[in-house]
Amino acid sequence: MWRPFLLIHKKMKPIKNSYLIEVNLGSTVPGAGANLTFQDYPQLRNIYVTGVEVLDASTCAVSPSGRAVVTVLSGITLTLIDKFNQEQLKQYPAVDLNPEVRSGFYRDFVPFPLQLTKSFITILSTTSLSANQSILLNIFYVTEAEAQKTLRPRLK
Amino acid sequence: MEENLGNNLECIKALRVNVQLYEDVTLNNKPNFRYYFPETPELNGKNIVNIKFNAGASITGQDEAIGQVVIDLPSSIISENSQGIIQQPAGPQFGVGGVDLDKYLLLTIYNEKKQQVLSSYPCHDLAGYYRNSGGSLVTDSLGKIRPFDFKIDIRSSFVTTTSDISILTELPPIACFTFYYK
Repeated sequence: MWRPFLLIHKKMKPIKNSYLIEVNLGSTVPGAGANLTFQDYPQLRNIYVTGVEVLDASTCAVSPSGRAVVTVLSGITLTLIDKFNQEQLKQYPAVDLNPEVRSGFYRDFVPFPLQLTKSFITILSTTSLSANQSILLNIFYVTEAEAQKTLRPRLK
Repeated sequence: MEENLGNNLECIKALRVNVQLYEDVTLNNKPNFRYYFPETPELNGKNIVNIKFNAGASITGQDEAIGQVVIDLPSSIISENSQGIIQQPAGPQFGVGGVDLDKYLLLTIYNEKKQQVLSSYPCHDLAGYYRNSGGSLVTDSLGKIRPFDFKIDIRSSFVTTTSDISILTELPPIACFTFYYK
């Protein structure tokens, strides 16, 4: 059965859980084409991702760890891998996941089981990026137990 | 709720809760300090469908007592058990000095099972129609109220700041949230 990957809703789906994660560029800005993997967040194991926001400094100026947040997302893409090692999002433009430029909406997805530690961010352009800046992602998700109760009928 | 607000769950009631930041200015240099919500029994165990961060338009003046609940919403959706109206809105508290302070605030919420449901959620993303721009409050016609669906334990939930915001020492700043629930 054909199923569109991105759901088109007139309204946004309610957010069950969210978790803010951070990717730091490091002491030197990675070169174009570099992939930055995510660290392991125990709370994001065994979850089904339902939506993602990528935030810049206009939404969150300083990360929870005290680092400055990137001001431009146009040279950054996001690749999300599911637990079957399939690329569910491949080189998705990060700027398209910023609600500031999506009229306040966030992108919601058909839920899939996220494998965060194999997912990564790709730097396509280093323009306006500086050392030690961070990229913030707000992950919307449901736990596996919640998914079993609410999502399974839809996913069959 | 109006259809164009971006939610697809209707609320029955709404409650406005304030969190006073920096009761002691010596705490000002400590980012990630937790400012807990006041005890608000009306919200405990309620199903939250929207949260709005009020960037200034509806925040009351400085003489408001810490922890009191302010209601200035349409009578059709206000809580019957609220503590009542303290006073009319008296202008922006956030945004003094030309800083968009909601960009330095994060919201963490626990549910009734003591599980974290929102972890460091950026308050600017909850600002809805009101945006701070260079110290002035502006309305954003494209703003959306974020839709949520969880039960809240308000006593365990808190607000954190991500940076030293020295400008806040000029006023006792208030972080004002509206919880829409059913």
